[in-house]
Amino acid sequence: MKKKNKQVASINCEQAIARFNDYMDNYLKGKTREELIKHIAECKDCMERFEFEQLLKSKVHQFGQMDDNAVKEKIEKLIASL
Amino acid sequence: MTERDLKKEILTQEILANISALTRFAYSLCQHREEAEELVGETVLKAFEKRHQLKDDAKIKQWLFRILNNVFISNYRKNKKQRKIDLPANIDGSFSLFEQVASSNYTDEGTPEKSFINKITKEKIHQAINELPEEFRITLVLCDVDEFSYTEIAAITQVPIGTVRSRIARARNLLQKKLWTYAEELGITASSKEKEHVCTCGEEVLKSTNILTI
Repeated sequence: MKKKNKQVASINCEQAIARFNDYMDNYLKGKTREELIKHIAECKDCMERFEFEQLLKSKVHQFGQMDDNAVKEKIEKLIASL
Repeated sequence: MTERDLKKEILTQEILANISALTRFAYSLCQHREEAEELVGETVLKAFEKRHQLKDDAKIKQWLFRILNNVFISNYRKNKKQRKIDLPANIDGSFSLFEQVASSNYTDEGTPEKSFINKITKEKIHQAINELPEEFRITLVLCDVDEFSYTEIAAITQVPIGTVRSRIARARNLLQKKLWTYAEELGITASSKEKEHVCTCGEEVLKSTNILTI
């Protein structure tokens, strides 16, 4: 599936997709952020792709955690010995 | 309680509150559970030794991660077996898991792309992250798992913000490629048109590869 590169709200789809990472990571500010928000709101293709990228990021966050009880116990003992 | 005791108490609480994140980060560096635990232990010792240098209590977490990264570089990296990995010279934006799934034979009620993400297991995510080259792996973990900002990641890993952004983009791109191979293991295949596209990209990759040492 190759989506069309539509011009929506002053930026096209390629420009919007290129800003996804910065937006998801809360790095995008000001006008570039507003342009992306408007584009996503009006472009269904980009909205779906953005939601997909966000879902994948949330999976990485959720599944990236580790069990820590054993380490926590060891570190507590280590600190107590200092 | 003296000021010194108070500082020790604050540091202790902050270490224990972030032990999971520190261990995960250590594991992303060492890729070995016991070594990661040792690295966290050494980080704690170093943090207590240097606690007088800590000026801003609001940045203790970032400071701990930076210490951990420095301890790894000076005490652990030299013992790591160096391996060379072939990477495409320019892979940013060249691959989209969303487009691959959207154009594949995979169908499901609702949105197939989201349904596919929900089928990916914890083990596959771990495996895909662990197979990333070191600099991409640790940047992605700091960003997506530990939720540090680009500015904080730049301070922890001591690289410019532009490098952090580029590593995030490349890490996500590589991660999606790894996850697509798992999709293929599940019998999900690209349409014939997309297969041609993948082949073309493959040729481009072969023509322009960088050798990165990690």
